Amino acid sequence: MVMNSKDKDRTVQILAGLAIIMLIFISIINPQDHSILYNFFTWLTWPTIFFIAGYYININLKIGQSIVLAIKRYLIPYLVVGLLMIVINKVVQLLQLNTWVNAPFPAMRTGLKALLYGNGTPVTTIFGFFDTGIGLLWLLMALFVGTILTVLIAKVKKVPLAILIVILLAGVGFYLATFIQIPWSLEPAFIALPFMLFGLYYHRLVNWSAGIATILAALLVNLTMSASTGLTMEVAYTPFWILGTLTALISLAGLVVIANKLVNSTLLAKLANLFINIGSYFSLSLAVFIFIKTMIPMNNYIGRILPAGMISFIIIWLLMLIISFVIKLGIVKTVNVVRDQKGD
Amino acid sequence: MKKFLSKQQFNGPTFNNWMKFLLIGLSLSVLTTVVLQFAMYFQVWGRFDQTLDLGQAIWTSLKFLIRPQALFTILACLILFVFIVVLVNRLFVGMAIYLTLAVVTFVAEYMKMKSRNEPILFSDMSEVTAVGGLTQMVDKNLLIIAIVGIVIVFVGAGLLEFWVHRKKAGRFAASIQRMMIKQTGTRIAVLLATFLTLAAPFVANADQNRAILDHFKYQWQSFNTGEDAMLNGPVMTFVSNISSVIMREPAGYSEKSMAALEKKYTKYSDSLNKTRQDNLKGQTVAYVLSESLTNPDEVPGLKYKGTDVFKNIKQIQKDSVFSGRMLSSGYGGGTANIEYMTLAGFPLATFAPEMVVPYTQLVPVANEIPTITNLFQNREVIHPYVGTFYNRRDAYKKIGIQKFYTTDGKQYKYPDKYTKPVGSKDNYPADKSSYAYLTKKITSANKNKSQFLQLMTMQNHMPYSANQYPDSNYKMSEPAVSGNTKETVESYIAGVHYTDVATKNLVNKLENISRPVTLVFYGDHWPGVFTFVNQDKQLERSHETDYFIYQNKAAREKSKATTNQNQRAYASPSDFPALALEATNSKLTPFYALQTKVTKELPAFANYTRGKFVDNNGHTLKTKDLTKKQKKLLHEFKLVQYDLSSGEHYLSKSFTKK
Repeated sequence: MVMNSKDKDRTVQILAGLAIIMLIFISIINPQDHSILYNFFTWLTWPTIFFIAGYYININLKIGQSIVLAIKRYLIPYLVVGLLMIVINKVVQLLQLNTWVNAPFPAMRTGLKALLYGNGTPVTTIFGFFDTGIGLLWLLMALFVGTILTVLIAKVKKVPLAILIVILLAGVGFYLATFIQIPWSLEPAFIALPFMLFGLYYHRLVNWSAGIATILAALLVNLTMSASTGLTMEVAYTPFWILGTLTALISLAGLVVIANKLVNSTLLAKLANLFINIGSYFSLSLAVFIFIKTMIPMNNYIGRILPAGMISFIIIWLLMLIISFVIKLGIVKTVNVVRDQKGD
Repeated sequence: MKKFLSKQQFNGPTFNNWMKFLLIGLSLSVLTTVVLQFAMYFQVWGRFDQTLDLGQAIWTSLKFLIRPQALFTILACLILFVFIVVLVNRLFVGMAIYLTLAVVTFVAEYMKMKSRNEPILFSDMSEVTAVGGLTQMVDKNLLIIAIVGIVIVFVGAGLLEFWVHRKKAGRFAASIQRMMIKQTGTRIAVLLATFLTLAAPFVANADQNRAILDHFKYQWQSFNTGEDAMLNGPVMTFVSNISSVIMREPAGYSEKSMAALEKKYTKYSDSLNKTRQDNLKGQTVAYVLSESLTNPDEVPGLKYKGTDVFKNIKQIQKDSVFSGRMLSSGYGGGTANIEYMTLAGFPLATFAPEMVVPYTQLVPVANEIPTITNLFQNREVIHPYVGTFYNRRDAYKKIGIQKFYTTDGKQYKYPDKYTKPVGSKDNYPADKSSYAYLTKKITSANKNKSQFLQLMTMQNHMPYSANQYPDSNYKMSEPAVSGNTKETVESYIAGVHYTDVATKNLVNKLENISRPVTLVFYGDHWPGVFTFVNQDKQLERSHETDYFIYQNKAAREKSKATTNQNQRAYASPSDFPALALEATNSKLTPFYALQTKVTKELPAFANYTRGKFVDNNGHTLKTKDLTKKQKKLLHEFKLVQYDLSSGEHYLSKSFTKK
C-alpha cells in the first residue's frame, strides 16, 4: 500500500486511541481468570504504545532538542503525576479515606523512592529487594528512556547496524530482567526498542506491502503465543524473548494495517475519528489514565452497585475511558486558556 | 561470486507474502501439534486425559495448546515446513511432503501409544529400516486411510502446481508464485537457518538439549515417556531423548577405587571357583524369550472360562533349578531392553533415566560389552521374524553373536519350514515351530564345543485380533470391558495356552537328549491388552512375568549344583547370567562373581522405576531401606557398570574375560 504522511499520521492517531482503550482493558481485567484474553492484548498494547512513541520522534531535531521534547512529553508528566500521587497518598492516609481513594505507598518516603527508581512492582533492585512500586507510571519513564535511546540509535546511518544494536540491547534488557531491575525502567525501555524503531522507520515508509494476510498472520501468531504466555513489559519478561519480540512485532504490524484500513474506510470514518479523539495528546492521555487507575478504586465503587461480571467489567472500562478523556480535555482546555491569556 | 553476493540475491518476497507464508505454515503447525497430541490422548489406557471419547480427546488435544510446551512443537513444525517448502520451492508440493510426514508421524505415534503407551523415541529411528515389519503391526484400516490420504494429497498438490504454473496464471496463482523465494541467496540463507535449527538437537549434548527444552517449560517425567509425551507433546519427548546420558558417574569413581574393586572381586571369584567346574564345553545354554508372555491367572480382576492356561509352565517352574517372577522394565513392549539385561547382567534401573534403549544408545558406544554369550564358543540367535528392530544386527555383532537367524536374513535365514502358525495363516510363527528349530540347533551342535542359543518367539506378539485362534474355547468373563478389548484378551489367552503346551513338549524333548542343556525361559513383558488394569495401582504386578531356569537330565548330572529353587523368587532380568552360571556350576570371572553376589545379597532390581527393589517375598523396598552392606554392594556394582559402559574403563580385561 502506498502511504502519504497524512495517512500515516491518521493511522498512528487511530493506533493511539486503540492503545489507550487496550491499556485500560489489560489494566482492569483479571489475568488469572482470562489469561488468554489478557495475554492477547499484552502482545498488542505495549508494542503499540512504544511504536507510537517511536513514530513521534523527529529525527531532524538535534539530540538536545529531542531530549528536551522527551522530557516535556514523558518525564514531566511522570514527575508531576508521581508527586501528585505521593501527596494525595499522604492526605488519604491522614484523613483515612482509603475506602474512596487508593493509598499505594506505605509512606511518602517509599513513594518518593519508587518514583526516583522507576520500578513498577516490587522487585530486586541494585540496592536489594524493594517492596514498593510506582505502578503503571513506569510506562512514562520507559517511554522517556526509550525515546532518548531511539534518538541516539537513529543517528546511526546504516539501518542494519541500527537494527543490530536494537536487537542486542533488547537481548540485554531481557537478560538483565531475569535477575535484577535497573533504575528508570531501563529494561522495559531496552526491550521496547524494536517497536520504537519500527515506529521511527514507519514514519519514513512510502510503500509498505501489508494487507489482509498480515492481519490474519498477526491474529494467528498472537493467538498461538497468547495461549500460553503474554508480554509482561514492566519487568521486561516473556519466557521466549526472540519469539516474543517477533510475535509482538507481527501483532503490531497487523494492528497498524487495521488502523490504516480504518483511515481509508468511509464506512467507519466516525469510528476512526472516535479513536483519534481518544488517542489525542497521547502522553497526557497516558498520564491521566495512569493517575486514575492508580488512585481511584473503581472496582470498589462499581462493586457496591453491581456484582462482579461482564456488565460491571464493561462499565468500569467505559467509566475509566470517559473519566480519563474528560479530565484530559479539561487539562488541555485549561492549558490553552492559560496560554491564550499569556498570549494576550 | 560478487554477483552471487549482490544485494539482489538476498531480496525476497514482500512482507505481506512472508505473512501469507507464515499464515499457511503456522496453521499447519498448530494443526499438526493438535493431531499429534490427539494420538497421545485418544487411547484406551486411561492415563491422565486419555480417553476413547472422540470429542473429549479432541478437546483435550486443543487444550494442550495453552501449555508453553505446545509452542515448542508448533515452532519445530513451522521450521520444518519452511525448510521443506523453500527446499522444493513449490508451495503445494512442499505442503504435500510436510503433510505426508505429519500423517506418517501421527500413525506411528498412535500405533506405538496404542501398543505400549509410549511415544516414538529417537532410539526407535533404528526401526525405520524395518518398514515392512512395522506396517504389518499397524492397524490395517488406519494404514489404508493414511495411504489413501497421502495419495490424494500428492495428486492434489501436483494438479495445483500445474494450475499455478500454467501460462496464463490468474490472480491467485500469481499470488502463490510471489510467495516463493526466487533469489538464490535468500533461499540458501533460509535453508541454512532452518536446517541448522532443526539439526541443533542432534548435535547438542543432553544438557544443552535440556536447557532448550526447559526454556519451553519442559516437565520431564523421568520414568515414563508416555506421560512425558502427554504433558510435553511427543515432539518434545523425542528431542529430550536424542542425546542421552548413559550413566551418571557414581561417587568415588577413580582408577584407585576400581583397582581395589578388581582385586576384591578377583579374590571373591577365586573363592567361589573352588567348588565350580570349567565345564561349559559340550553344553548348551539356551535363552527363550517368550514374547509378551505372562500368566493370565495373575492379572488382577481377570477371569476367564476354559482350562488352566498356564498349568504346564507352572509345573515346569516347580521342577526347575530356579524359578519365580521376573521384574520387567517394559509394558506392552521394550523387548530388546529386557533381552539386553538378560545377556549383559546390567539392570536398566541403574543406568541414567535418559538411557532407554541400550542396543541403540549404549552398545554402539560402550567401552566393553561383557555378556554371557562371550563365555561360549558357538553363539547364535534365532528370531522367526525380521531382524531390523532395535538395531539388533549391529548390536549383536558388537556383543559377539556369530549367527542371527531371521525371516529376512540373507546370510542366516530362518527356515520357512519352521514358520507354521497356530490357527489363521496370518498369525506369527507358532512357538511350536520355533521350538522345533531350536531343538534342531541343539541336537546338531558340536559335541566338543560350548553353545549359546537365544530364541525370541513371535507367536504372542501384538496385534491380537478376534478369531485369531478359531479353535479356542477361552472366554473372558470378568471384568466387563468393550467388545474389542474382550476379543483381544481372549485371543491373547488362547495364544498363551498354545505356548504353555508347546513349552511342555519342548522340555520333554530336551529332557531326553544326551547333550546337557540349560534352558533360561522368561516372558519379556506384559502384553498391551489388559487395559482395565490400573497401572498406577498395579505398577509392580503389571511388570511381573514368569521365568524358570530348567536343566535336562544330562545337565543336572553334569553340574551337580546344589541350588535352592526359590533363591530368586523375584528376579531382575539382569540376574539371569549369574543364575545360569550357578545352575551349570561354571567357573566365574570377577565380573560374574560380582553379579552372583548381587543375586545372593541384594533384592531384585525393579527395572520399571529407579531406586526400588523387590525382595524374595514380593515386598517393594527403596534404596534407603537396604542394609549398609547391601548399599555398599549396590555402590560397587554401579561403579563396575559405569566403568564398563561409559567410564574410563580402568578395569582390566581379565575382570570380564576368562
